[in-house]
Amino acid sequence: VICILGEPEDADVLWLAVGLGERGRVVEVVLPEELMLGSSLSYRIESSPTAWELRLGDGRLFQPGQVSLVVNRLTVLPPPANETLAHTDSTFISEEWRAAVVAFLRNLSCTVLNPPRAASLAGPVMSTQAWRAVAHAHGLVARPHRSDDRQVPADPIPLTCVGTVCIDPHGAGDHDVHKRLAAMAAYVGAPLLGALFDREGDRLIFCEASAFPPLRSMGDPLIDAIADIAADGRVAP
Amino acid sequence: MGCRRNLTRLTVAERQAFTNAVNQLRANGGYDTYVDQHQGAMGHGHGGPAFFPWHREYIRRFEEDLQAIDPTVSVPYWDWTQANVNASGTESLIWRDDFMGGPGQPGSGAVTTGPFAGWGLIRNSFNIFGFPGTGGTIAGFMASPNYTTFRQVEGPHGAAHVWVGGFVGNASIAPRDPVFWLIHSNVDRLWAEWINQHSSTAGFQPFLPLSGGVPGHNLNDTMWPWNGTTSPFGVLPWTVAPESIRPADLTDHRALDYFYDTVDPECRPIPKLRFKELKDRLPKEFKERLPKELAPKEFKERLPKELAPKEIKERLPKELAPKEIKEQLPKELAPKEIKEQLPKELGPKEFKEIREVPGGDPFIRPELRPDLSGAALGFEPAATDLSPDMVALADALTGRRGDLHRHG
Repeated sequence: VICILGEPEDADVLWLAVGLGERGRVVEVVLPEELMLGSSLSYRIESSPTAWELRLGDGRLFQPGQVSLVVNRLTVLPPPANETLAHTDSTFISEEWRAAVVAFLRNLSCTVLNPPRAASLAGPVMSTQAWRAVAHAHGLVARPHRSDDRQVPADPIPLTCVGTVCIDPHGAGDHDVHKRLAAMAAYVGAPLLGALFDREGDRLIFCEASAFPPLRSMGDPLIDAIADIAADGRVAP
Repeated sequence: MGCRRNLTRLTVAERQAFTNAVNQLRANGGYDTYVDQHQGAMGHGHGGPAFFPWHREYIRRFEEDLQAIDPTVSVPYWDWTQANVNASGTESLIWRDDFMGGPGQPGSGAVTTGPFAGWGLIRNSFNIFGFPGTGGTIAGFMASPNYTTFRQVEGPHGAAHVWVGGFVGNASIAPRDPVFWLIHSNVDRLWAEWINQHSSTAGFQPFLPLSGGVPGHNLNDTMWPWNGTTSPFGVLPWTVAPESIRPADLTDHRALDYFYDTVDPECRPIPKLRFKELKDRLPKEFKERLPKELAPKEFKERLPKELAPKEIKERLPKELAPKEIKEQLPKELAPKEIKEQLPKELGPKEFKEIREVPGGDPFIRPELRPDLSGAALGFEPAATDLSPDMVALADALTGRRGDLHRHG
């Protein structure tokens, strides 16, 4: 089973779920509300293997060995619905839930695209400045970020890496760029990473990246790559 | 009642008037009633045909309450299908500290800036230059003259809720964050646009079903909480005098005495820039034929300072009154001839686009749109249509979500 955590308003979730289904994969889309309301989540650390179980209110049950891949498109968890709670209690419960979900997703044995961070359910969220610094450290050409000039290209070139595969719909980057971007994705802990580049002569200049990239614009190759990851197990760390 | 305008068109004073009125309404206890009402209407004003009329009445009453505090205030709308940034793309016009405040703090989600910083709001830590998108999906639904198709806009409107997240992302408590009103003013505008667009279609119905639907969702059913019924939601304290508010009473927003800048001539902005644009686009040979003394800059310089516009009119010789001016124009400058002298690239179509508003556009008109050049829009959702399978999946997921909210 490929488990997609997301919402009906996220067209990329719909596109991915339908595309994977067309390739014969069993896909379950789980809403954030379904994680929170009427569900039970258990995670037990034992000698080996570690056991976990997610039972949803509608009876769906997820256990190790069943789930081959989790695609995480969560951006927010609904706050507690109990209106009688004091604000501090409500905040406390929200944070506890959030921490539980983050810990649960980060510790699954299957691949999670992308594992959440403490600060962001959707994976790493960094400033342009930080993305460019990381890109530079991985050998990609990136201009220094200037706060007074956002240097957004008029016609950005998108690339998306999933695991070690880079989808380059315009064929703009060479193998070296793909390899470096994939390495950068692994470094930041976002095996699904979208990036925007500008073209300067025959060079690609890194501009921005996101661990929550648009998916549809990458087309069928992205669905194929994600389906392969589900079939093969974990992506390379 | 007033003009509901795109938030990007508000002046600083208008922004402040709106946020002040909202804060005052909360201070006097009126705001929380709306939060309670919305929560009570989760199973009534949502997930069905009454979604649009229920929220129209709901916003109208909220707006009346604001206007009781400040009569100049109307509820602006947030067109979430595009970035709401300034002309140079350097500043978000909605998430400014003098309007809605910023996104939530990383981690806690707490909103710590803006006029509502003391409300304990929670939002996603979103990128202020991003936006929810969904324009393509909405346009697809709006293209149909059938209300049952159109009302599926309820689905993508949820994207705006989810994108902002926090309170607004939770339907049952969404009005806790004032961004709610901006989202739903836009939803209401889309209904008004759609009716305006299709009203001449044979057999057009601005609302369906006429009858036979779920109670509360038919054209002539009265709606809760205003009808004061006790079933199925119970009479809450705010229902002091039951009223008959039906979808049938709400299909014409103009009859309710408010207007939208993209629908109604009453509040379309004065297109100050159009004249400049037109002048700039005039062919060179036409400019050269203008007498120098009629060039705008020179004309201004020659005006005596004491001549305010009104006085100018009064002091114009009768023979220069507008009608006479037309008659005195040389024949070669009559409108038809002007058009014929235009270069091909400024032919009738383009000329028309400068002067006329293209009909049927569900979104903000081009001249109202902020200049997005330079904005970081690289990660905006692709505005392509959903396949039938994707729509079916979205419907199924939305249904599951609705069940969860209804039954817990």
